[in-house]
Amino acid sequence: MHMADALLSPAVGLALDAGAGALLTGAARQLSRRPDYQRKVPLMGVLGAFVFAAQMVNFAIPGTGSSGHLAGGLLLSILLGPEAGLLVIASVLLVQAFFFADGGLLALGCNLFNMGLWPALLGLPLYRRLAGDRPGTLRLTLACLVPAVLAAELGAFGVMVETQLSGRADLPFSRFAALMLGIHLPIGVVEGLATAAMIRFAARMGALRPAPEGAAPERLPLAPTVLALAVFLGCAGAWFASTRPDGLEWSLARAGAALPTAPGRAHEVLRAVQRFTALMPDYALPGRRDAAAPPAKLDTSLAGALGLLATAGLVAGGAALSRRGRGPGRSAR
Amino acid sequence: MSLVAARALDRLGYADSPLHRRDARAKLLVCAAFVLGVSSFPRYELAGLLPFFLVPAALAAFGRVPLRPVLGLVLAASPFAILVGLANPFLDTRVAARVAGVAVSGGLLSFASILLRFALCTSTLLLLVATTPMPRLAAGLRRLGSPAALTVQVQMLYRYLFLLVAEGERLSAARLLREPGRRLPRFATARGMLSMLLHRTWERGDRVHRCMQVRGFQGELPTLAAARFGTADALFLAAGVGFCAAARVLPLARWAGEAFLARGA
Repeated sequence: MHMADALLSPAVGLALDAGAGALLTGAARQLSRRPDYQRKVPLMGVLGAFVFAAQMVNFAIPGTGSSGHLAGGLLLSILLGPEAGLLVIASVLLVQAFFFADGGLLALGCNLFNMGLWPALLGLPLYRRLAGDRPGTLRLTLACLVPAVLAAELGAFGVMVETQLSGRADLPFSRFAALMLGIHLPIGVVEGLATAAMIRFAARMGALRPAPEGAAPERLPLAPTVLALAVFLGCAGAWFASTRPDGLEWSLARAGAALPTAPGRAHEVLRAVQRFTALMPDYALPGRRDAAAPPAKLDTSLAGALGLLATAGLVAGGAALSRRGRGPGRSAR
Repeated sequence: MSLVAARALDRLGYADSPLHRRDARAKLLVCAAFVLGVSSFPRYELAGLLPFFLVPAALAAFGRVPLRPVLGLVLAASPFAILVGLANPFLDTRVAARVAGVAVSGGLLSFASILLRFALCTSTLLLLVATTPMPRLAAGLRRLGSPAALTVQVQMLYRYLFLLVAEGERLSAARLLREPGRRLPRFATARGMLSMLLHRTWERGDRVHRCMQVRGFQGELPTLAAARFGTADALFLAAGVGFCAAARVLPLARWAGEAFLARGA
């Protein structure tokens, strides 16, 4: 699902563009210092083109009557490492925006967050942890399935946050969430299965060569990644603060918790972030109009589940980052 | 459909016109100003967006771009924006305006606004590409500060894009000849096809790497084209950004309407 310029406000688009730009610059700098960079250049190029070619091979998904194809984010990260994988996805998105009208100039940052960041940041460490050194077929499939589904759902979550925060489209949160997360579940499963098949084949082909001796472990650069995550978290926080304060307070009240009458410090900070990000004269979000009415139960629980998912993703990403430099990298796979 | 159109777009980039001769940096910056101008309008805006259509019209005219591939791509890419915007008319039923006595709901206005924005942004970006060949676009991005690793990667990807897509098409044709009754392959078949594609891709990467080593690749693709930001480029940039700013700030559509009425009176 490519975000389009038409659905974005400049504040949201530019903030995510800035985060994505910092991340890409950091990853590019780190990558070009690697000893095997020059060998990777043509490989990155052809694998990026492979993603386009692979998307032409649509296959039937049994029992549904619909079709699926390989999206390739996780596969690229596993085959090339996180920095190179991120750069290849960025170049794919750039060409899709420029030549196929998929996405847009302002939406490039959003799309990199939704489709490139999670496989490289979260999917790869998770895959390495789950797959271990010499995985069997079942373990490998599972090790591809979990990160692929997680990345697809986080990407869908990103699309929702960006759309709702921009306030151009009117979809109510619960229906939008059910639709997006529902659609992306089978997408993630198909992606995981196809990735597992490709990785098995690549291992047989000898493509998963170990990194050269003495090279630094392959991780995304720390500072830009933290910055990018902060931008994303800021967007998600601003969105939660702007759309759901009543929902959260309502559920707290239901749970019997005492409500502070004055908004807390965090609330004020997030409000300030929202004032900063929502520069538009007309920034009323769809959820705001009926903020006085208690939101439906489904709404609140979905919001909670999504928040949990996002937080888990961020914590896991932070943990993966903080492991860098401790012992030899597990990049041998 | 979209692949055919993308190929046509690629060929158009190598034509010659006053617009083709402008520096890629100027075109990219005008495009950015345009997208910012369009996207910064509030959600119910319609009239303010209309003057912006002059930009793609001018680009198409000065670049002598045929409209067919551009329109084809805009249509092929539209489903997501339309799908997301389509709910607006059903959810936002408040009457926002009256046109000749007919009440128009706010949702209908915002949906129409999304459609206009989509047409504007995608067509302008495609026209930028239709008047700039990929190597010069990448050089422009590089000079605007994007890292070398990214621009090299974009160029390498682009170099092999249509080759590998043709490879994929051949695989699909071969599959269709063997099981003509089946519209889509089973997963096991697709797995074999994708594995073959990955194998060929990987081998091609190795071959290309050896060839690049022989030719002394140093990490950046050199270009012979002299990238000089001339007076004409500066004028183009100033005119483009100036128009976008004016169209964003001033009520051009109302003035045009009033001028038209005044002439008729």
